Amino acid sequence: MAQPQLLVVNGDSNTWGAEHAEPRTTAWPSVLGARLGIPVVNLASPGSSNQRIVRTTVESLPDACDQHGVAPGDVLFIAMWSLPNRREYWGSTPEPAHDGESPDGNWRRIGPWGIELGWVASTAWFEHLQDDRGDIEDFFCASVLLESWLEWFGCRFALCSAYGFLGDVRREQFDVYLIQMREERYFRGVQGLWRSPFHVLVKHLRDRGPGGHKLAESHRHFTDEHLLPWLRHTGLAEPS
Amino acid sequence: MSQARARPRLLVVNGCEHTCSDDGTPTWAAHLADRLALPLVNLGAPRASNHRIVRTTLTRFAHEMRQHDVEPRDVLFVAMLTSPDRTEVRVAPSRGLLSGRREVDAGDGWSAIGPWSAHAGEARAAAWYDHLYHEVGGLVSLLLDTVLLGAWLDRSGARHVTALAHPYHVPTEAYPALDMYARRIDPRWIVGGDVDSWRACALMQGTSQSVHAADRHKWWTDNVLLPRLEIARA
Repeated sequence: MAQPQLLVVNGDSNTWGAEHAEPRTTAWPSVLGARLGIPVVNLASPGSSNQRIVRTTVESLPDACDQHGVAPGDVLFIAMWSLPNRREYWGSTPEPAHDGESPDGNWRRIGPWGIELGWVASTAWFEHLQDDRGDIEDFFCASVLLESWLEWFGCRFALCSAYGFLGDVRREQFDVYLIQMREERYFRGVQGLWRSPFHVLVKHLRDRGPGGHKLAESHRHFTDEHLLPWLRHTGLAEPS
Repeated sequence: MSQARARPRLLVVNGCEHTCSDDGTPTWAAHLADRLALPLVNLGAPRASNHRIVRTTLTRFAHEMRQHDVEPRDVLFVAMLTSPDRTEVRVAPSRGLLSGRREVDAGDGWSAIGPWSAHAGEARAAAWYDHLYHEVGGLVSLLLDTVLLGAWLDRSGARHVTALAHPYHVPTEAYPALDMYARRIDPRWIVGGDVDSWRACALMQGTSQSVHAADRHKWWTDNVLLPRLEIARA
């Protein structure tokens, strides 16, 4: 398979490069784009939920192809899933800009940190509606659906995760979704989602920002030692 | 919908109370099965949300095919999406169901939230409607569900089409990207072939509303859905 001509990625702060001095050169998507010698479109956002990742991929990936004059088959798309206990909702006003980002319409984030910040929607969600097992089921459902849409769209793609999210939850409960997930679409297989997430693979490296984000050395290590070899092995990128 | 294939052997539908009525009154689903002379599997449920429609399609579709000994290519699947202001949440056993009413899918732990639960004063519904639901967000979810479910059904190999129970208003001034969804929805996935016709073809839209309620489902099946199903012409 020929080298892709465009890399499009989506994810949360780990993909956006939060706490990096130069995320445009040191976050894993930038490192990967440089190694492949192709431009990068980074759709990630700090605090992103998996809901947002799915929505913005469907909304923005076709336009990214058009803007770069690249056919879907020449695009490599990689999503790094976030924690399942995050959500998004459409508020009556935009969320204040954070980390230098432009607001995404009136879409607002919901996450555990929102409770500490006094965000009413986060408090309402976690107090009345959130359930760990429901979050994980929603995540697997979203992954199957996004996988289907990316196949329909016709791009090359890979899905991986930032965090090991299963905890003590028995994965057998989700077999109805797991049997629909295609091994070759997931970095190190479907089990790679919880066995080989980004944070586990770079755990031994000590670089870490005050907010807990892994920094340049971890991103380089993840790209060069794990993701890029796997992409080459699976044929999603050309061998070196 | 794909053509030049053998006639389907099974009709599978999903939706809300407009697809599976509370009192057993036949809906469009039964009329369609009758017109096409196909056995019917109705995955719908009263008070279902689009979240439930998508979730149960993904979790039950393969099981129903095994039960009926058919392949995906033998299936005609019709979804009727419902009001986007509904949702469902999974309720942990320790938290308990807050309502005494019969819950949708209480057996698998998912519980419906809709205007009825708000009227009943349920705390979950208050949290949803007061802080999390907005017409624009709901509509984006409906359109996104249509895109994702369409792609999933394409991958499954089944013939499929999605209809609407209710028409929706498009507040494009509030969310310009809504226009974009019209380009993301494959015309073969929706009744009517484009989003404007899709909305006009909703069960509770315009002409069909002038038909007596008891006859509306039959009227809609014969005059709106069937003429737009390629399989009916085969």
